[in-house]
Amino acid sequence: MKKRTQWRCNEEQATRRFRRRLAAVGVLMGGMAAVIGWRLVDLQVVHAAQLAKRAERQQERLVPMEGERGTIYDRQGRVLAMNSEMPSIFAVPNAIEEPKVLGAELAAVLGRPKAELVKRLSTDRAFVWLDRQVSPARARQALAVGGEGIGVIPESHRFYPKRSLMAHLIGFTGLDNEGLEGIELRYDPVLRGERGWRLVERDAAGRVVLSKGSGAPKRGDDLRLTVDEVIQYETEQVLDSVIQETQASSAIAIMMEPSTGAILAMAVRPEFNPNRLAGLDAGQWRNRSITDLYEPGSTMKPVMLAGAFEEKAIKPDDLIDCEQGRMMVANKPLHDHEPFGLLTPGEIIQHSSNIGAAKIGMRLGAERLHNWLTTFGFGRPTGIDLKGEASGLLRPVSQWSGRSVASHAIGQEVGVTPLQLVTAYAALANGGWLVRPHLVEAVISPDGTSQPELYPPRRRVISEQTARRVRDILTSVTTPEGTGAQAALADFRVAGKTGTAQKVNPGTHRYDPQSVVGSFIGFVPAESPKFVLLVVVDDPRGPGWGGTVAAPAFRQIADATLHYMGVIPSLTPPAPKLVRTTPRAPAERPRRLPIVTAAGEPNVGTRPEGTQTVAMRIE
Amino acid sequence: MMVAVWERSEVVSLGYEVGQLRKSRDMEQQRHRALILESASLASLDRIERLASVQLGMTTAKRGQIQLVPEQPGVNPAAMVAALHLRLQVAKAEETP
Repeated sequence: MKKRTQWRCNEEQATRRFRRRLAAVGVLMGGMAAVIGWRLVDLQVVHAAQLAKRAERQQERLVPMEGERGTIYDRQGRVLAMNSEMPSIFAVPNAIEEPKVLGAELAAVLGRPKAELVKRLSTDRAFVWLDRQVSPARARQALAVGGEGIGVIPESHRFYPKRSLMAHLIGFTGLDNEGLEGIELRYDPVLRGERGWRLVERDAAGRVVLSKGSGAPKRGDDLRLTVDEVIQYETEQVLDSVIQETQASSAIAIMMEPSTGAILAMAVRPEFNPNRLAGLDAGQWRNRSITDLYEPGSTMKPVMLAGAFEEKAIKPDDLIDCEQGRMMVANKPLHDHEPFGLLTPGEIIQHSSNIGAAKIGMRLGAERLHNWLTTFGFGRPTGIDLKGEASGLLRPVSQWSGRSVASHAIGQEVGVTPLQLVTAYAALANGGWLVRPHLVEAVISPDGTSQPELYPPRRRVISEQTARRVRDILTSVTTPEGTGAQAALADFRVAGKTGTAQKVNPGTHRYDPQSVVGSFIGFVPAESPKFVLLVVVDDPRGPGWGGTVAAPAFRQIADATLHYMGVIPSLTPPAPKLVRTTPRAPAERPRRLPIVTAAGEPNVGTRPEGTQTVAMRIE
Repeated sequence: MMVAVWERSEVVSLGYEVGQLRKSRDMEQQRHRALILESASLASLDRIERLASVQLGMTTAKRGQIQLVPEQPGVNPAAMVAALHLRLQVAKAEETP
């Protein structure tokens, strides 16, 4: 009994102990639940907004997206400049333990100075560029050497697939795709796209899980130029030959459509490759056709003559005494290259008489001569769609000396850009209208819509009759008697003018007879010009007459261009010489039968009965 | 609850897929641009001329070897040129005693 009572007592104590433990566990669990609950409320309610923002910051990332730079095409739609991606190598210096060792290894791979790389790798920044826009092979090598602290990002890079072709005109961009020269600079706001963004959610490995929104980048507009790759290539080839033959310091050629002002070719030598700019100086990429001034010499005479005709200061059949090649102007002699007597204005241009031109200029007088040069656009930029165009040098009449009228009439004391001269001649070629030279034909938006680029309307500067008179006179320059005979073409009439201007020696400030600028400017076919073309050869070795160094280049470029354009010859070409290449048929001439061509075309001729059509070679 | 988890899982899975497709599209676009550039570079006139003259032995056509004739509606230009040449040949043959 006592034992049973003892057992019962023990059981009750155990039960109480168990209950107490249970209660303690329950209180503990309850307390923990309360803490968790309180924490949950704290996380989900009290600090919910703040924590959600923190999570977003950790998981979400705003990825900037560059708008692709627009492509540049020639007038036939051939690609001249386009963007493509190239790898750029970066480093995270915080993650690099031995910058000196890594710097030495990367210097060998990247070909950059070791000290420079070590310095970059030793900073406490989170991101530094090591090399940008390198070849894929070089990027792979750098990654293999660099390990975790080195990375590669694709960056958009500008490529010029035609290399040096029209490089002065197109220009180039910098590392950040901003236009730095030429069309790239002038049309940078059009070509450059707008930056976009994309909000992405990333997982722990940094992979994109979800795109949560985006502002699409806008691709830059494309440009279609007025320039034709084939014409430009022919022009540059000829300039290369001229430079090689004459050892000239530079050469320029500009071709313009006279009716619109569209530039068909603009070539400058020496050239450069815009894909490899390292080591070049500004002198090599300067577009000399709009920045450099030169004295146009005799090529100015027709412009002055047009003004004289307009002012009725001279008539086409007037005779002017050219003083047998020597005349005193302001107590200094003015010479012709050979003695002439009485010449008409046309003959003065044809033989390029300085004295005759000076006398016509004197008939005009200083004020009117200055006005006409201004009217033709000298002394101010033409307004071509390129930056950095020079105004030229045309001093006010108040600063002219006693010799200035004669000098201006023969293209001295005045500085012009090659483009200004081409624009003035375009007015002679197109019937009297001054046009705005331009390089961009249309802007093409990313959806393919082509918007023609608009330019100021042309304005009349001389009458059609004056333009025709001067054009006829210029045609005589390329006859065998004229100074520009070497510019003549066999099957087209060429109107043009030679120019040979002495350069001023910077040391003596006097004209240096050994240093000249030879030029030829003209348009063809003379009766309905397709283009105006100027060739300027600066400081050629040997005789540097415009008629001998520039006129042949003009002929070559013009001939190739007219063939390329498919212009039908305006002059009858000499008949082809036929050479028999098969033995003659029988001596007597039997009855003739009609010839039928292989294409089945009848009535193209007759052949003797009993004979075959003979094979002939045309030479 | 299960539906929400499944939905989230699907969204994440599709997100990965879209990411892959976007990457693939970007690569193809880049390849397309690279091919256009390569084509433009291969079509450079200096390269064509070098290949034509050095590898194929071609020369520039001389004056007279290219003859332009006015276009006439309804007439095959090739037949016109052939006819022109034949006329020249016949005229010359008739002149020759």
